[in-house]
Amino acid sequence: MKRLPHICKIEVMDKKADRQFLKNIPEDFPLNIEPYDVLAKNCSMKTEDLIIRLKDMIKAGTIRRIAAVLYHRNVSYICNAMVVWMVDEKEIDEIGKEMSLFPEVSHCYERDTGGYWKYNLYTMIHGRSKKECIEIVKRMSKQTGITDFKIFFSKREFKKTSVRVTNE
Amino acid sequence: MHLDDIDRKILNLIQHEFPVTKRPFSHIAKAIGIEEKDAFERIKKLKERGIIRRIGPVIERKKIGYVSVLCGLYVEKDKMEEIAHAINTYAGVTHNYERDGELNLWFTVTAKTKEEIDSFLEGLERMFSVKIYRFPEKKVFKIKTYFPV
Repeated sequence: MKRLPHICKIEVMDKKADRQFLKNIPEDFPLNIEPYDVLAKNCSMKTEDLIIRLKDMIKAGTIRRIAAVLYHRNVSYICNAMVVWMVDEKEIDEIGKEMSLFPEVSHCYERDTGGYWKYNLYTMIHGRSKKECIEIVKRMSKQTGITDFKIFFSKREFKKTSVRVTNE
Repeated sequence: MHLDDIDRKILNLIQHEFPVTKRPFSHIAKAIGIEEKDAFERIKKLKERGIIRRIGPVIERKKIGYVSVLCGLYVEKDKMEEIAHAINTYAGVTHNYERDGELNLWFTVTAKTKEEIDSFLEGLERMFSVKIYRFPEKKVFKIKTYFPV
């Protein structure tokens, strides 16, 4: 019982240290043949240490991955749809995993219904056209047996960025 | 936009992972069967051409103590731009889309505390006389944007 607050404190400090570290890591790496050397210099670290730190954070899940993010509209994926599904609470793990297997699904979350409606599973779908998105939704519905859903097609993108780590 | 087979291979590979190693372009080149310099030049061009938005870390917000929430609201057509821009001014807003449907403006907001988010949302509700519905996450099944090209 006595140890619990102690552990929590360490965790909070880790998070703070991670935030401090990430603040110095740009969301878009410099175009350099050895980009980690540039990052290391900015962090006043050795390249090897920076690489170890990044790898540790990937292992811990703090960094989901280091990867390229595309402008999806420029690679023909001009249509995105948010589809909300009503799924029985008891089945939601199974259905959520099943829907996640569709490569066209980029995000799949169980969410609170917000006191607004009954939809509790939220998926983001990307396609080259509205028609293609509808086909994907039909396949998802057929495969999972979930027939109560709503589709919200995107009309205009006002903002799309990634999470920024701000000053403490 | 024209992409040749090598461009496609590079894009499909680095969407999964950009190598965390001293010479990442050498790893990419080896996997595809080209020279390091060639891999670097192609990726540079793909960024300049607006195909690659960024190469960098995808951060798990929760693990660094951030909270986030999906929000949806109904906005009258003639107010759409004004409200959308007011939402955008907040740094914690990462996505903001006009959509077809009964709730026609959807955005996600991330901050260090739930209180910060609430005060931002309550401010918007007062300023524009709108009701913002909050859909906080309960469980993440998947977050991975991958566009095979």
